[in-house]
Amino acid sequence: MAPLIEVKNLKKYFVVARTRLGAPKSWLKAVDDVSFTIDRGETLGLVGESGCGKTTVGRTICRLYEPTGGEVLFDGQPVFKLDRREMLAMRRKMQMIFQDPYASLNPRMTVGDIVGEPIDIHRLASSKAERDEMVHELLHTVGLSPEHAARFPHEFSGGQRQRIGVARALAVNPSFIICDEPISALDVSIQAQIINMLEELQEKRGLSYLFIAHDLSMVKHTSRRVAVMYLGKIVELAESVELYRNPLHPYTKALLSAIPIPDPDVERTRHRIILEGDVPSPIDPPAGCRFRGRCSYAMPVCAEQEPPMRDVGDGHHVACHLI
Amino acid sequence: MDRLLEVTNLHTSFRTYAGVVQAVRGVSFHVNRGEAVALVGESGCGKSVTALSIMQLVPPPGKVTEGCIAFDGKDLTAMTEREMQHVRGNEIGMIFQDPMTSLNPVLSIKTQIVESLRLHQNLRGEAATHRALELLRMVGIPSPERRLAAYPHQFSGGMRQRVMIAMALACSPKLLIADEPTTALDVTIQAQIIELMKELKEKLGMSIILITHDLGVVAGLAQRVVVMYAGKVAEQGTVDEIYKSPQHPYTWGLLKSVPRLDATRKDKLVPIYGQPPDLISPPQGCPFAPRCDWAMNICKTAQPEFTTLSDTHQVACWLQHSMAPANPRVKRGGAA
Repeated sequence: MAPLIEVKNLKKYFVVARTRLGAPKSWLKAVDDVSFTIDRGETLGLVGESGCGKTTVGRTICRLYEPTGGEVLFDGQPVFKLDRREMLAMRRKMQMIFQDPYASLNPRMTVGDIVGEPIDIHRLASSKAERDEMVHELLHTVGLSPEHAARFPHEFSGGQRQRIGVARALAVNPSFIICDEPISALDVSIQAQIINMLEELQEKRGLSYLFIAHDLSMVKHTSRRVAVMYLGKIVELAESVELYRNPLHPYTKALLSAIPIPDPDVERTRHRIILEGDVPSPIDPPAGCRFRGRCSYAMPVCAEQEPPMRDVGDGHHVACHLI
Repeated sequence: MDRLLEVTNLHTSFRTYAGVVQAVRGVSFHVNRGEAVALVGESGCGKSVTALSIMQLVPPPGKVTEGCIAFDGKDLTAMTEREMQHVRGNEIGMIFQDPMTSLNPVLSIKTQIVESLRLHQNLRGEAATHRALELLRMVGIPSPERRLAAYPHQFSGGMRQRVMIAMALACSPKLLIADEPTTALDVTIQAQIIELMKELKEKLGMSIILITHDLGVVAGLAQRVVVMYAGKVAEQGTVDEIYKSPQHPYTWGLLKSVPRLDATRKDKLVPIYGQPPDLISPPQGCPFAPRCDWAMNICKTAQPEFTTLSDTHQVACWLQHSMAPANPRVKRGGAA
């Protein structure tokens, strides 16, 4: 079966400086040649450190940013070629949940209007009564009650606000949701509530997710496959269990070993790979392999050639000269 | 063991228009010399306010209303502001969650480090610069000679946190309070900072209070853990006791609600339903009772006392009472 989402050679550059005549002088290559697919009903995890371009990937797919290059096929339909009207229809199929539940809800709108806005825009209800019925149904789906519709966002806790964000995304009955760090602003006990809810919704409605996060243990839990990004590129993509058991890229290895495990015995005996230095600037990324400056296995070839993405079997892809 | 800090029955409240918020309600714990103790809990549980109370830095309208904080034989609550200024920096250093907002953006880091050296150790000129370089080298900032005159915005997040640690260590304090030191950092940088803190603790023999909500970070750094909930201590013990035989339902919940990276099969996460209580009118009984699957009638009406399970392990839960029904160990599955 053809995948629901096909991302091919996606590129998004931002202009950071212009000449006096306004021509672009230097670029920030936030996303540089990224490709992956997402099947129906599947969750693909996208992990990486801040500034690696993972949020930009999500936003470019649903054209909150206009792409610099590449292609996204949604159910075979090229998303980047759609005009305004067609794009509006496309947005009924793909929705987004944002990281910060405090910033992503309009404080001057009631919850009912926030959740009802997509229904109005897409004219999904024929009468006011039907619209209210739909809003109540959505609030019920995410574990809130109908009387919450008249309240304002500031009356809710972080976890409840994120539920409102989920209800808004579900309002148009999409088949694909981009979850951009949906839980990183929440407390641990609340995180599990939201994750369980997203998983139940996926089972019930056959949703596909692109799950963007920096917390590798949560991504491993939620996703069937995981893509690891570093400085605008995917360096490794594999099934989540395989990625954890058999990481091939030195960056993935370091990332996995940096994650603390809540068990004192494991922590005492664990060998930790500590990466030196910081992520270099994406404005002038190093030539060749972008990770080579922090990689303890770097060879001369890493500086000359960019490592291509290779399939090492069973859907495990890695971009490294060592392999 | 020799106790460096002993907090007894600490109460801190904030008088607001909506009412008196009882942020810390009778917290007691201690820190031994050379030991790292973690204060763990969710936002709003009073862990940061506890730290600020120790430093006597609770912002108004907050006030320490009751309790005793004995540090190295002196009661910090009875000290004047002048005496406290000597303790802060000299004897207790503190680092904060967000290194960008706690460094002054218009002063070079040299000025900021030298300032504390001048105030607390009376070092000036050459000697102060020399010591500042030594500190930057100690926290692993590459080529400190070149970096000394730089401004905070010229450093990355991890490097800024290193500068913060260097400043906190400037006067070789006996106790370092680290309030969520790695929350704003990426995981690979977090690992660097945790390793650095471990190394400095060994080398300098100082004590650490680590405030965090991340149980993983705790397991790697601390020797003992204090789990806080709604302004009270729910359970405290050594890391082994807390992770291997946790006794409080809230601790079980914390451990089971996060997925483990080394888990081999996929279990459903067990969330803690509901919300923490409102601390303006805290519940009469156990604050965790409304969210607890094992709550009994008594939990709703009376506060549980501490039950001592070992020299180091204490838990405030009615399930430990001799009249309580059989301990629901079977259902809970512990840390696994």
